[in-house]
Amino acid sequence: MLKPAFITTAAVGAVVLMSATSASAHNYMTALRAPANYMHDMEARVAHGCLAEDVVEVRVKIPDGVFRVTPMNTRDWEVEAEMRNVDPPVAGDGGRSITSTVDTIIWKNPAKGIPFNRLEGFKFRAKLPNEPGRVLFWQMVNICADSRDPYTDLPEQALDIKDSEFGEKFEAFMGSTAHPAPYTVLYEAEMPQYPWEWSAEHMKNIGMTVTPSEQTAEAK
Amino acid sequence: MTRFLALFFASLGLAFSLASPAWSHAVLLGSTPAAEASLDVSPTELVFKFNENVGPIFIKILDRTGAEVGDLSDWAVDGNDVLTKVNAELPNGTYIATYRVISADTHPVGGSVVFAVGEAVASMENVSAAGGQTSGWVIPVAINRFLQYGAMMLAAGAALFAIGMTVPGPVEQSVFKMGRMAATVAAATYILALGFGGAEMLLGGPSAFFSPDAWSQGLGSTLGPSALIGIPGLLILIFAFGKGPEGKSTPVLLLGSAIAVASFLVTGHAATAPPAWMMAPVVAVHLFCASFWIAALYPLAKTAQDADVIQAGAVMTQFSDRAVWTVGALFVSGAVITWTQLESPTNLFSTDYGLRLAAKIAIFLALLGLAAMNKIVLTPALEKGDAAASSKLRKSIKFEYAAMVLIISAAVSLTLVTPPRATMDMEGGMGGMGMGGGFQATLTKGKYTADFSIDPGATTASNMVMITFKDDAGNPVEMVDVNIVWSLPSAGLEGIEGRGEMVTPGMFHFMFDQLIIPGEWEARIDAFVDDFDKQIFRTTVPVK
Repeated sequence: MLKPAFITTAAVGAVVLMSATSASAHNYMTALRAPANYMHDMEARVAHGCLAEDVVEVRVKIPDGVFRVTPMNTRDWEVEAEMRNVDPPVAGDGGRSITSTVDTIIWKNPAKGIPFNRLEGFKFRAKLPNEPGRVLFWQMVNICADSRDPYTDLPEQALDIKDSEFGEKFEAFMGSTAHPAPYTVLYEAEMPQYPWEWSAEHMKNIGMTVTPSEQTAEAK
Repeated sequence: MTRFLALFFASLGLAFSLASPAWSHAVLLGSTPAAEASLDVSPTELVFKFNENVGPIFIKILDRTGAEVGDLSDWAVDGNDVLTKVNAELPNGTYIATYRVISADTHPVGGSVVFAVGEAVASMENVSAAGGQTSGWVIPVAINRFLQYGAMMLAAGAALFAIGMTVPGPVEQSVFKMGRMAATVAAATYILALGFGGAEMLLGGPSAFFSPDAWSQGLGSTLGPSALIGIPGLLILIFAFGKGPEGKSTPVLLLGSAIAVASFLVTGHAATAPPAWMMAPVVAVHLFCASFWIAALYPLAKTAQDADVIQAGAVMTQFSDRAVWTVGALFVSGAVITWTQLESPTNLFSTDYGLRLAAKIAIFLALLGLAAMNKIVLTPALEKGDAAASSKLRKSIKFEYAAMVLIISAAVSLTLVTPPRATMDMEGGMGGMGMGGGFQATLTKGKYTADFSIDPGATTASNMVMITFKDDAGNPVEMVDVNIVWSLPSAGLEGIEGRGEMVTPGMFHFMFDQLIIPGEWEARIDAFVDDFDKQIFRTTVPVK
């Protein structure tokens, strides 16, 4: 357990380091890394408007495996969610079966569009897949009055975080296009998201010592 | 320890990401000279303005041969601007200023800007926005074409009228006079068409008409052969009409009118449509019939005005006999042309070309109504000596004049748009457009194919690119957006972009004036099937 966790964590760290210092995309996710299997608040950033026009609509494509998506209400923008079927259905939390999920979130008709030299964030909440090491690509497109600014490019070959050349390949991809899709690298969480799911071992992993009285309480 | 190191790198990465989360590739905001600028004098400075601070790798100016020119100083960075002095004067011509810089994210970004010194350069913005005929020269082109059509048909028709009709002497004199004037005007319009047409093809500025490039462009297009055929035919007609009725030579008049009409068969959508063996004769018949009708209006009106009623009745009867065949041939040939150009009846009301054609047909049908009234009501009345019929005939002919003007206008407007048939032809190449040379390729990506064609594929002209996208079932694919990015690795050029304009579902049109250097240009075609599904096609295009 320790070794895969190390590989994942170190690789994610290296990618984020590389990304931060050399190659983030135009549009980007504020969370360049996120714990797998977490319900996570995400924010997609539009880094600038189109050259001569303001961005007046933003679309974010939700990657496969991401469920329970709730767009955040954004002041001055109308928010819509387009759905897609999940076939076959997948098991959700609490034994529910998920048969449809958000495919695309659309923010549109703003009170004021995004000018060229300004950035703006668009938030949503989502359950991230339990796939540590996966690179989630959030394809986005900015719509202006008479033009589009897409950030939809994906690597031609899937990026494998266990690949020893993962970092080089990721950087090569980022350098090969001016329109890369924003991404988030999933890493294995040290512990479950919610405190009531933590075990004594989890507590120990984060340096917490369980006191006798707590042990007693736990026994009760 | 290993866990510590892993957490250390992850934390370090996170820290960096929080500190600088939004690097991006540099974007060119503008330049001096501006893209597509036409300068009166050689620039003394070259400036590229970016949205962020960049580090230049190289900046250079290339001429049409790909040679570096301008003797640029070492570049300097001033804020987000990269600038350099141009130390050597650039002779009149078109140039590409090209750059390659390092973005703040350490990735190289390249691009190019075309400008001209002492000559016109096309406006790329106009080109990409409206797909071709967008310069102000389209108006002179249309006006001149209207005069050309009217005058040529009046001249050719006058010859046919002089050969085929027997009219009173003074009327015949006026027919010869009208024919000579019309032929003279038509000859002038053939010449002007080269300059106007060339300026329009180059999408030139106000002075483009006076540029040798425009005339060269016009002469190199189908307007050149048309003028080279048409003007001799018109000179023959001027000579023949100059002899007057007393020196009338049927073979010479016939020859002149045939050559003049033939000049229309080497240009335009209809006459050059396949199969040429059928369409050229059909269009010729259509033109001969229309010419005869148009040219007959003035002598018929003059006969109705000057001749006595009985004589006018006889001329009208004679004309009616010939008109039956003329109208029949006009109708049949028109139907063939319509069917060929539209490909499908639904295109009559669903395409721009179809709507213009529908307007022309509607006016023609109204004209037929007038002609029918003349034949059925007024001509018999004239034969019976009804003087009032003469006045009514002149009034009717005035309406026919108006209808003819509208029909010619509609015909001219048809030449300014692409017929559905031609767009279908272009799917398989440029064969139906009467355009020569070029390059075609069928590109495949997954289940999609892109039929790519460029015409003429030359450095001396605006290059038109047409791309038609289909799926594996052969159905057109309505792409959301299509862009082409050109590069010429041999000259270090890259980043020349253009956005396509949809012509019909699945078919996109581009114009490029930046391919001014011969070589193997690489085209990357980004086609969006929907918002997020981008298919990339690549091809290498020889530009001569």
